[in-house]
Amino acid sequence: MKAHILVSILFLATQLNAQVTYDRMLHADKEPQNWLTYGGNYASHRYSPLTQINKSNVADLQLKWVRPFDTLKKTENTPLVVDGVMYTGDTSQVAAVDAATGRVYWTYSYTVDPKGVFVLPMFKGLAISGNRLFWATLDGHLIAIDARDGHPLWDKVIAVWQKGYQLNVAPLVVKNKVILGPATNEEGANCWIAAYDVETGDEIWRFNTVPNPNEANAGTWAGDSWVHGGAPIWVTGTYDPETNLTFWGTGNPNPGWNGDVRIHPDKDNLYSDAVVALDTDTGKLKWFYQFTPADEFDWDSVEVPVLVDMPWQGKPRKVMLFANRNGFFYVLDRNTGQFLHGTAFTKQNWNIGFDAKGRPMKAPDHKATYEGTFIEPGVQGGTNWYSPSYSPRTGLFYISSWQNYSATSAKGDATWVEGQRYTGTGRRKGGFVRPAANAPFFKTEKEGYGAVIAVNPQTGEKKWEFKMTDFTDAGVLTTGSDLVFSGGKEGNFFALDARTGENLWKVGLGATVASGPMTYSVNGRQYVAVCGGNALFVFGLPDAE
Amino acid sequence: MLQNYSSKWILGLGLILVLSAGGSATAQTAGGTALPDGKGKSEFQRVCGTCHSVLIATTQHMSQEEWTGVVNDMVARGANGSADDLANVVTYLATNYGPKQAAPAAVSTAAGAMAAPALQGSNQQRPLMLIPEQAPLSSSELAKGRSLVQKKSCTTCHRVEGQGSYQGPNLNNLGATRTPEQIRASLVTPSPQVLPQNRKIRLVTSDGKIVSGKILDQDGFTIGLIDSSDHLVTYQKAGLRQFTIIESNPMPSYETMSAQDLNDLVRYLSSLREPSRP
Repeated sequence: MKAHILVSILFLATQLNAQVTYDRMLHADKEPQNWLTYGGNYASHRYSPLTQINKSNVADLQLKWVRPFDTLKKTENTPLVVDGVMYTGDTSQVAAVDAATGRVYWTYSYTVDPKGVFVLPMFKGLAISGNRLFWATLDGHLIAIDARDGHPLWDKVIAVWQKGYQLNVAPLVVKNKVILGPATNEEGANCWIAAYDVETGDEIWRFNTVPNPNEANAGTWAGDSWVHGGAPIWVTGTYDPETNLTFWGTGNPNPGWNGDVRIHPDKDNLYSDAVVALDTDTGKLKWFYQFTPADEFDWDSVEVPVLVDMPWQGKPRKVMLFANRNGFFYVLDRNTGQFLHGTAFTKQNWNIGFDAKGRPMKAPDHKATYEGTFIEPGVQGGTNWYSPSYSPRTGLFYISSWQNYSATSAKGDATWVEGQRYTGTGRRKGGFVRPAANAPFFKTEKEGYGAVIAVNPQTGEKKWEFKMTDFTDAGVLTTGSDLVFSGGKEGNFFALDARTGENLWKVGLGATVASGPMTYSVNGRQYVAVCGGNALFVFGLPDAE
Repeated sequence: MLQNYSSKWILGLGLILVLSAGGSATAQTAGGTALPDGKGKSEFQRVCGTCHSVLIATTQHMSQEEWTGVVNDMVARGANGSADDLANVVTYLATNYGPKQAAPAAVSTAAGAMAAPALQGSNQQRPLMLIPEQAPLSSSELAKGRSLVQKKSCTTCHRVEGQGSYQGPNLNNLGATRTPEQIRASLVTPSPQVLPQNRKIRLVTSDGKIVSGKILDQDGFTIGLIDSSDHLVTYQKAGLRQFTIIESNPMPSYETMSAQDLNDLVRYLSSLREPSRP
């Protein structure tokens, strides 16, 4: 009887505290039925403790419901789930749907400025705080929406698309701040990371990813090249409550494929292709680490900085795991930024080692040329923005990667014009990327292939590799039953054994899987959701199980 | 939606009923009939043609204001489009199917008097309208309006300025979706029934729990609602003892208010707008 009363009280408490508080997000792992942030928790593990779907029954997974989106060829959305309600969307509409059936509670539509031409019209996801959802639109608006009825609460222009900006990330909410930054798709618009007040949308602080002349490290750009330096934000950062630091990966310098104006004779172009650690209250830079100084091959560092506590050389250490587009897997001390190790996870020809401070030593011929330079990995990199996963059970780090992939990249001349692309690219051979999985594919394995790889973060060694024929832009999910879920451009969505990489289940979704899968449960039943093409697919076990 | 079965709505519905009989026959033979080209044509075909033949409009001649009213009523009936889409539909109709004697110049003058759409974003519960903007409220008018809302307990059912219940229609954007005349009529003589999207539901679960809320969605298997604790929930119909969708309007009449108070309340409610797209 006592237990019964206790359960009732707990149930009541849950009902009353339906708002998504900072405390709930801090302890997201304690409510595995929900998925409260883009990366699953503040550390972006994309690991769920749920175990109902396991190795013995995963082959029985069946489609439960589908939600097609109106406007996109593909969507990169990772939905949120809060107490049985899923919040999902595309670039023109967000919706609250019943997470068990997909039936719609409300939709909120928004027409992106039709004059804008957005080369990468993507929607990665929403953030929630209290009963407010935050949506960063392609054309530069940050909108707060009432999660209960879909009505807008405020709408702020935080980046002007006519100047070459777009918003592409799911925001990160920490306490009273919505944190995000704009991207520039090679338009030479200088980007930033900023915190906006959840109540009003007012800007609280801003960190420039290309420093202004009066700021630290301004001298890392040749001449006045900093004016159009770029360094975009394409993917959501992470947060460490112990140090109150927020970590964000930054994109490539502009013009991307021709560094003549910005790197000579020896400029690094900070904070492009780096990870920055910022104080969440003030936006002040605590440390940074630049993965690819003086980049000329578009190796954005807009991958997810994953925060892990693990033994390092016999002692517990608070680290950051970072699988970079430049083909290296890094372990950094997340309190200090100290480089601990970097190991290539794909064929690479640019790095001949690291110096004592962890600065990469570049191969002498790794420079952009008008004739073309053979680069490994190719321009799309060894991985990219799609989320990796860390399982505290296996201690392994799981990366969607492009293996043995190369390209010949040639530079061209670059002239900056506002709102136009400022790439400095010439003719390119190889590195061909097919946009979707609904067309034939002809590559051979020696020309590169996609793979999910499991890396031991303590050594950088590959534990196993699951090969695909085509490449992949899919994120990775791990679960408490040692399953790995991922997909790729082939259009397959699959489950692997997290310890061996063995394929346990797959389904063809008919179009590229370019989103991060996530899992949740409603009324004790576990579901797995992923976007394939322009639809969201949700799988679960048969009702009888 | 305070004002439900307005005369314009009935006019709009009448148009559909009257014209669909002849219109469908016409549509079959006139499938290839070219509508005049012009700004808003594609939006007109898309937004209006989803539910009825676009030829329904082609025998009508109305002013910009009248077309605005018809389009507003259609939005309340479920027509779906962005504010820009709807503005273009009105422009198209008023330009091509304006009053027979009206010159195009008169149309553009009328358009200039219309308020800009309040927000490019929208949701199902919030039709986008083209209501002329009124003069801003003075601080005393604002205070008076707010106190009347409190005194009359409007937020027991409605959301006003981001506060209140989700059980009735959200009034946050009322001024952009209803004319002052419509608002006044809804206060004095509320319609006996509510629009389908504003219906309440009462259900009894298999274990006897009674749940009430505002219906958000249903199919053959499920009912989705926002319950009286503001939770979005879905029930399987098979697991319910019973459910009742309530069509009647719980809104009381406020005709006993003083004329001054009523004027002040209408003026205040007419000022309500959701944040405009900057």
